[in-house]
Amino acid sequence: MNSEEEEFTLQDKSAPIRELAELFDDSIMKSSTRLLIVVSLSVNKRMVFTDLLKLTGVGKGSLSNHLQRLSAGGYIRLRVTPTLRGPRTVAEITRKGLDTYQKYLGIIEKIRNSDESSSFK
Amino acid sequence: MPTEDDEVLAREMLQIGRRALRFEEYVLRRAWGVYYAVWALFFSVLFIIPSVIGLVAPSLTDSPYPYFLGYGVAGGLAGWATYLNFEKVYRTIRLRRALLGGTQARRSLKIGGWILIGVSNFLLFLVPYYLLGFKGLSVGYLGLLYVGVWIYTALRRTFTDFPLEGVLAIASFASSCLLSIYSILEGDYLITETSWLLTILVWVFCAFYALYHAPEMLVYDDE
Repeated sequence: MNSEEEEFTLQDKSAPIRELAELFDDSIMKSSTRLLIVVSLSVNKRMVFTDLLKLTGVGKGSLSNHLQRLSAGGYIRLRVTPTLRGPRTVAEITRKGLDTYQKYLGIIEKIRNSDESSSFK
Repeated sequence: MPTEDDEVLAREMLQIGRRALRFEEYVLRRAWGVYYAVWALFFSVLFIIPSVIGLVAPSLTDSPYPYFLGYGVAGGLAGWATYLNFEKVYRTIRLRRALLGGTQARRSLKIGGWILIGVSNFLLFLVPYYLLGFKGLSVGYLGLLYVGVWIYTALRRTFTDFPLEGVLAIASFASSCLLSIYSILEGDYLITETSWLLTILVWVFCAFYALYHAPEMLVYDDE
């Protein structure tokens, strides 16, 4: 690879990383667990607390804390629905959460593309 | 220029996506379990409808309309349950494509698109029946084979490893469609009934198998 090509590849890689940094401007999103919750909720629209426990693998207290922070930041909405087995906490994605997810999708697509092009070279 | 920290961050981002995708395989395997159960119930209803019509309105047993109405309502309900169950398949394919590349995900079908597919399926049986008589129903079964292709495509595009119950469900469904065509053309309806009865049993098994094995998808590569 000549120096021009090398520089081009590095620039390719820097762009999504810069966008990633912008995504993390909001301190609420500076957590891989919270980003995972937003990504998964964007695909499923709504999820119950027990499924979120399975997804994240963290404890109940920790998950509650993450959900409260995401809810306070407007990324998700929390509501409690009555069921035959007792009340269940349901988390739903909001417009802001979906926008973050769209940004995330765009960034990982760019990272993957730059990885593929650099390995190709 | 990306630093080493940036590279670590980028890897972590991809890891989050992969974990979400793995979890989605668990969610969707459960959804497929419900799908097989709903359609096994629908196939069973098809068997029961003639008896119900005979019991409720014996004078109408010779008219095709009550049958088409019964099949249409049951099919509509099963289709609605399928739509609710699989709203998230398109979004999973979108995430998979962003992470792993591959075929461009087609636009998600709106509810109108699903209704159109349902009505088309219905007409696929109704129109040939009126044009060709009873043997025309074989055209409907021939057209239904696309459902097998649809199931195969959806499973292949959402799961890393093709699930066993998917193979069984597609094989039994396609066999029943082909045997139904043969049986209608030959006039031996026992073959149709036996093959669909076996398909119901296979799909009930597939439903339990998918629901039972879904938690296995929760083993994450990053653990």
